[in-house]
Amino acid sequence: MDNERYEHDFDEMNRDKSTVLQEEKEKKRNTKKSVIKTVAICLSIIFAVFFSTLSWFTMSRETETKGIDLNAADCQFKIATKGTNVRNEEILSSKRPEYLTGTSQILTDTDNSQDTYYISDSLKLRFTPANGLPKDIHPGSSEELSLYIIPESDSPLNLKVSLNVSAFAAIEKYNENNEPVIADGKIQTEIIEIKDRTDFISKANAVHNSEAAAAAADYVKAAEYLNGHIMFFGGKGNTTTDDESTRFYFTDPYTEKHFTKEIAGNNKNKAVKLPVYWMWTNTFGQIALPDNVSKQRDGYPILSDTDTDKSKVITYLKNNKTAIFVSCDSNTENDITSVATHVDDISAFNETAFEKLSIEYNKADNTIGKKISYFLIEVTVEEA
Amino acid sequence: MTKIINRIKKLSFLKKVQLAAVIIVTLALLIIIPAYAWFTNEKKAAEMYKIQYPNTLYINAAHREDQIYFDLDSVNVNELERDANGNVIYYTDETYTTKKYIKVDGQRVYDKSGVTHVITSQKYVFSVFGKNTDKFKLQLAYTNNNQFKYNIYEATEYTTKPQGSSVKYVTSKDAHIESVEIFPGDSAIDEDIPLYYVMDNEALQGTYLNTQSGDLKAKNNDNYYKNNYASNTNVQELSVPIYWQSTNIDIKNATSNKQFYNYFVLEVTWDQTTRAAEKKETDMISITVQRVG
Repeated sequence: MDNERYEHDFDEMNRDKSTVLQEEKEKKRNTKKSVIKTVAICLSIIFAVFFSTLSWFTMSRETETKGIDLNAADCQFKIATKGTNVRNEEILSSKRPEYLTGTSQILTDTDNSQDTYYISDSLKLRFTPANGLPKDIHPGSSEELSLYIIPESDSPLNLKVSLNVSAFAAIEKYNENNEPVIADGKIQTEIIEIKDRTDFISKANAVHNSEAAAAAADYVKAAEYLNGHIMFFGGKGNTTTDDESTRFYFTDPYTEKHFTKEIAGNNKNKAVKLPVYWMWTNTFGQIALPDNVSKQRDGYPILSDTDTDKSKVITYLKNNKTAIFVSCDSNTENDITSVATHVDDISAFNETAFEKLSIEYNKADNTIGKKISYFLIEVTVEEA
Repeated sequence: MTKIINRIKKLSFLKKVQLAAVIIVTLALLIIIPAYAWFTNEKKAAEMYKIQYPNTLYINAAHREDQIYFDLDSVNVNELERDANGNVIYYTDETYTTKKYIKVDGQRVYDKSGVTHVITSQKYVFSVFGKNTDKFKLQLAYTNNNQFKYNIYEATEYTTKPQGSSVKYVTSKDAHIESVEIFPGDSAIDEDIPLYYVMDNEALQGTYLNTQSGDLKAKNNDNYYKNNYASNTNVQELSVPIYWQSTNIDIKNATSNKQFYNYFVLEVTWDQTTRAAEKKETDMISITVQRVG
């Protein structure tokens, strides 16, 4: 009996011992696991904080010429601009404070001329006024962006460029008693970006302008028309030829508002021009008419009559018709095709369609002029 | 997958929390690292432009009536001066200051033994009006076959005949069709209503582009205006237009919905004795207005 008890006890002891050992092993394993997990979590947190801080630096909102420009080790280019002035600088800085004046540097361009350029990863473009103060923009206006690429090596660069147009309205400010806010004898205005109807209503209500809030849809539509009417190009045409009938404004239309551009090699640290032109074309005829057989084209065409890229522009008109014409119907695309088709005989010209589309184009221009006070062109450049 | 879910379910609460934290941080890393790479490899540039408000400016006849009623009719350089009733005026002498009258049947009439006065000017009323404009400039361009001089005066409208001299204008019915800017009362005004316009004492200030003040021929340093004729000199010199532009003019009669209207009198004058022109000639005159600012 005792032996049985002892054996039982011994067995119990052996079982307990092994259990304890197992439990200890288990505990050690668990502790190890916990430690690994804890270290992993801590490392992850450290990485997250580190990288988000760096991201924040890169988006630094500084307005001094010395910005903190952080580049990844493998970034192959910088962007620059030159000119004496920044258009509407106060409003640009107020609405888009991330854009900086940049650091000035004397650079040589591809013609070996030296000039002062301003460099920043987030850059306010500059210009030099030709005669006196720059004029406000209206239908028929066009400009060239002063944008340069500075390659960091002699290797050729393949760049992807995106273009964006944003619209801003200037609406009158009122107080809670519906009285206009006046300073220096003038009604004060608030410049607000037109994004969507809800956002516009909210901003108009913030300055107690119920009339503007009620017209939010009109402002949003005007912004769409602006986007439709501002067109971008990659090359300059010729408006000074002796034969006036062959003059045209541009080549290379960027109808999708993005393009790729190759920057030739062996231009390390030189300012290489990235040609980008925009135009707010005055008349529909300048965009769509294939020639002036109809004698209805008022002003030079945006592209040469022999430019095969004209078909791209016609496609652009059809694909964006609601942003180009105030009123569209099921015939609009056919009307555009009809106007854009060459006729040998003026009697075959579809004058009805041309007049209809021209009027709707001009109405859109009028809406833009009445509702939009400023517009911003943004260019994004990255390696393709 | 079921096995994994079951294993997760079997974990203690603390271990579940740890697992969730690790997954969240890993996902965050996966987003942040590419975002960081994207930020530093992308460059952006921007330019802000100001849009000009579309002009709403009209030049019309007096009282903003349609342009068809702005009648620059024939100027008769032999026309005699008449009074407001259309009667030829007779003066006592050639100073043309005192009118000469006699009484006929108890009525005072002009004494036809007096001297008549050939007019030396003619006046035309026009208006400039519109919306959303603070200031504007007027420009005149005119040919010189008749050797006339032109001046523009700001004017004030009266509905009853004022003291002193004024230019009379008679309204027409339904005469506000052309413009989209309609003012209170425009549609209600009847025809044949007389209105009187009193000129300011001084003409508008301005400058000539291509002639000296008082010259009756376009000139540019003794050459005929090169923008019209380039280097050609065998030109009909009196057909070269003279260009004159006013200084900035402030709007008047502004309304609460930003409309305005200004009235002007165009005075055409000539000097019968010295003008070197045939008595029957044709000139073209163009008046334009442009918003300032």
